[in-house]
Amino acid sequence: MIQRLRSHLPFLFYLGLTIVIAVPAMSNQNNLLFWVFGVLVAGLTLSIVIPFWMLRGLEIRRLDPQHGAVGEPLNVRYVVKNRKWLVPVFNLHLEDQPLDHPRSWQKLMKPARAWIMHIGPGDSVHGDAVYWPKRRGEARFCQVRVRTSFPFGLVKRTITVAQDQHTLIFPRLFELRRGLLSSLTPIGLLGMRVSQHTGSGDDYYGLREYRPGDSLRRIAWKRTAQIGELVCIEHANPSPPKIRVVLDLTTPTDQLQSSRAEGLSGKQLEEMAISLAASIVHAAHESGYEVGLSLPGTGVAQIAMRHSKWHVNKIMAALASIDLGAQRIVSTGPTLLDAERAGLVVISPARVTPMTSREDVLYFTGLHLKTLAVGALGWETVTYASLPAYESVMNGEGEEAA
Amino acid sequence: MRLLRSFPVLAFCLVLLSLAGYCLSQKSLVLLLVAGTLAIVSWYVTEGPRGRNLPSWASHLLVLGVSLNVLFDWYQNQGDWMGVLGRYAVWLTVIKLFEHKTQRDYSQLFAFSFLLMVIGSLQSADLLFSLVLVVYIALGVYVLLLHQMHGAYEREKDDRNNVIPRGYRLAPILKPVIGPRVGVQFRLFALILGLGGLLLSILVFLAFPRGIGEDKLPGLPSAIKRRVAFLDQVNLGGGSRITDSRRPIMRVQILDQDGVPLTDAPFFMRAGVLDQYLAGGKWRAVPHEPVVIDATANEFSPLADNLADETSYVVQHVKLDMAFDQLPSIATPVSIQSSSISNFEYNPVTQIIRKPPHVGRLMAYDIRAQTRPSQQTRDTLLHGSDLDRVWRDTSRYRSRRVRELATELLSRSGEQTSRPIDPRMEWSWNRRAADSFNRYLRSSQFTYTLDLSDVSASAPDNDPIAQFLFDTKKGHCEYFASALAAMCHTVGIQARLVIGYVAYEYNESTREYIISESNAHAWVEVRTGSATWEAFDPTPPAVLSALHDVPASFPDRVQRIWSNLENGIGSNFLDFDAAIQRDLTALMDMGWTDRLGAMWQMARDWSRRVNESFLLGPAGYIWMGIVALALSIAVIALIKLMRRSLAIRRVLHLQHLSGREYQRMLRQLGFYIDMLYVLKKGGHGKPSWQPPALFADSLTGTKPEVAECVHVITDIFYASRYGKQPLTKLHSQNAQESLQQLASLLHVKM
Repeated sequence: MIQRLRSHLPFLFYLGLTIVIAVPAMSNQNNLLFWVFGVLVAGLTLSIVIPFWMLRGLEIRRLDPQHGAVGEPLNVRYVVKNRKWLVPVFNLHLEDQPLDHPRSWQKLMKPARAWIMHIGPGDSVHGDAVYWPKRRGEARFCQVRVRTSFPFGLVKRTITVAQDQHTLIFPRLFELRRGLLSSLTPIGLLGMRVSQHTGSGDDYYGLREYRPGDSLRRIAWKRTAQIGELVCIEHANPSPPKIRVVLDLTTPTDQLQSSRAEGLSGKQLEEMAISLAASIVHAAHESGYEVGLSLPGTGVAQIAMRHSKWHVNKIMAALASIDLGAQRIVSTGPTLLDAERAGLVVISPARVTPMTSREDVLYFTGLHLKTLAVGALGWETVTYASLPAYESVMNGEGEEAA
Repeated sequence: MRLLRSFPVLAFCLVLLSLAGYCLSQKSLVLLLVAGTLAIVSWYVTEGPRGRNLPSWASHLLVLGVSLNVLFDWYQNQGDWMGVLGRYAVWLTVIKLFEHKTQRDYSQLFAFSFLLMVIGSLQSADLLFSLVLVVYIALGVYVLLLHQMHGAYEREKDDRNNVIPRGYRLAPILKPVIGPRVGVQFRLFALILGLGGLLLSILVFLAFPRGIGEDKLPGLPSAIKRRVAFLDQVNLGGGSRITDSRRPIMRVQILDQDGVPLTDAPFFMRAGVLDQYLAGGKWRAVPHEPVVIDATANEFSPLADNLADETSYVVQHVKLDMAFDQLPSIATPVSIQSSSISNFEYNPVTQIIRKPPHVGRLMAYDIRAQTRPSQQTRDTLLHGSDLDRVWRDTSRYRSRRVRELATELLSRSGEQTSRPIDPRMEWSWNRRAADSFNRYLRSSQFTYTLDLSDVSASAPDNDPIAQFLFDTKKGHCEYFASALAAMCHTVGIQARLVIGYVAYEYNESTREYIISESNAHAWVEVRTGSATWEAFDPTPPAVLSALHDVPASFPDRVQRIWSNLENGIGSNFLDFDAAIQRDLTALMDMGWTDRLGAMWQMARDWSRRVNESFLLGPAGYIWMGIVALALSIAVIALIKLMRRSLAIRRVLHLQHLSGREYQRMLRQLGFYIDMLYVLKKGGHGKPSWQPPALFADSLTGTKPEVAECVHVITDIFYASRYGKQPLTKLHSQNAQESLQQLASLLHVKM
């Protein structure tokens, strides 16, 4: 914990004022002005002492920030406990210090501050700093700085507390055009199929011998009559439609053919491809699909198809963690199972490369995001039409472009 | 939130109070009415139901107009630059009140209001203004605290909105994070802060050295320089010290030789003798060479050596409520005592005692005075001064018209009209002539009045005395006394104007005379012997009695209470000076300086005795110094060691251990405490809730080098603390090396 005392312009102004008051007081030997001078000196002394007093006995902790997403607010919550038993604390500002690290949070979002107006003696309060991530990736936090200039705003006193944490910023999600998902699934609109496991579905799976506790309704009476012992009908477990999203990042960024017509760089195309993959995964999950992800070229292991919130977060985390600056692994190509009974979507940043012999595979590029996306999810008013410019903002390549 | 919502109202009240305070300091009712009304209207206009603000162009135009007006004002009142500045600040404040108010505007408003109060402080020392100033400071502290909170809230709101990317339809609302009972705690905190600030400000007020840099800025208004109750001059042409103010200025107890209080009022208390007449009705004191009287504290010091007949005297105990340079006294003073001043200046010609100019304010003194001193005493008190030479060298009143009147009065009373040649006849003729003039002035032709509003300020021939004697024939005691002295001068009689006080009001409970400002009086002393002066009071005695011995009415009593309050604050606060500061220091000291001095002396004696008994010689003192130094270092080291042990015990929770294990850990695990200290100083303090190993892991991501050192130290710590392995030399060395490395990495000095 580092404590620092900082003076700033109001302090210098106040100091000047105090001296200015002292001069006529001395010249006139004016006791009223001497007292006013005394009040100013007292104010100065209290301004130095009280912040020091207030910041003593504070226990500051950053709660583990949940993942964020580009374009959505990320609340970073601090818990501050005032361990003093008599002195309240007023007007605290908490902010994370910029970090000299490639994965520092300030590369993904603008600084934000939490403000706590009051903590009673022995109380504990939560203060939120609301960040607005502009890029996906890993955000690493290290030091929390707590500042107060109470009571008169003349002197700022800060303490810095180290606490190393990180969180992931998921890619920006877009709302996709209606009907896109149904066109991705190979088997009709229903999309349900019989799995190779017994379950509680309506489809016939097979027969087995009767076990005590089986419902009488499940007994296959005709068969029982034929063989002379009780047999039951087993139903198959229903299986939701499946989609595997393959994000092909085997081509290094610098070798991508950038879209000059659209004014997009290779990196922007890759980011759009990631966003498209994330949007498809999100939409599929919302529609009840089992989703899987393959990331050829990144060294990330293939993620199996499942349907759960946790599983989608896992996929989003994988997408968020993609380091486009890392070396691509070309040799270990994706092992796409032709026999895998799932819709297959292959997304490449720039140019489509066939990856399987299956004919029902859909190939997209990053640029397809403009045609497939209706608008950004969340509270944003960004539309796909303004996307290129917006993406350049996301990449920090010029605020003015927006 | 109610606390933050109350800010604009209180800020407005503060500004309004400063406007009222400034107008009070200027005693300008018109300014108060105009500026106050506009300020109140501004609240309705800006914060009322319609809530409109002055557009910026209009406010700029108004500021421009006010600035131009200030230039004009400055051109007209070049001497009153402080007043011009104050009026400028008033109008700027009023304009600002009509504008939209951001935090910056509030800061500017507070700056203007503070400026107004400072200017008011420079120009007024009234009790009412002082009270307004105290309320302003108290309210100001509270409003400034609220300003901090309100400003922080507004800033945070703005900052949060700025962070939100453009195009968002909805943003999270900022709500102040507060604990329970915030209002009560805030007000309590403000109260304690205010009291602490008040205490500190009083300390600074008391401790600030007085007298330094005095009169370095002559251009500043001096209206509230230290108030002196008495001015040794009379100016009939303009201004007067005669007032009907009932403010007490001193309390006097007069005792006879047996200590019995004398109550046969009135007493005349001489405070100044004006023996020189200047043109235009001005009387001044001739600067005679004073005799310095060395006084012993609490002991009467005679004003001259070999004073005879010291047995017949009265004693006056005087307690001053205002600052005096001259010390008023009844009759002829012969000796003086005071507890706070070691010497006085005695003027043998005028028999007036003064305190030296460099000495601070005198609070009380005692004087022994003789009502009828012997000729020998009079001669001794003269200290060899030649009164005839003084008379010859002094400018006196001359007027042909007044001389004709004086001659006519003398012939009317059967006296010879010119000075007798025989010196033996001169003194009695002086007395008779002065008496005839005195009777004339006491006649019904002349009227006593304080209201001279219908008297022309510029007298014909620049002679207010002649104007009084021949035209107006009305005036106060200064006019009467001046006329008598002037008539005496014209016929060659040595006469001088005496100014002082008449003691009328006797307080039975305290057995003191209370002398107010309204008791100021002037009379005449005529020389009736070689060293004898006789007092003549031409003011009609009935009028004087009626004027001074007035039974106090209810408004008088209220005014007296207010005056007492004003006087109390004035005496204790506004007139606080170097002398009172010295007295206060002596009071606060309570003998500690002497005690410390005695201890130091005892130590010196002891060291000398030790040196002599061991026959060490001069080198012995050096050896003793070394021993004392070593002892001091040992004590400091012991304290540090104890503090370190306590820290180890507290941080490592060794309370439940005892015996050899406890001692071993106290001895060996100090390096872990050092590591925590270095990390804390380096900005990587370990949270108390985090285990050491987990903390070391958490550093790996951001500070791998630091984490490496922490890992090494933590491993050794775990082995010793929880593995109960005694540290080997190698372990200790490793821990110390890692600690040094850690300190250098984090740039922390151990």
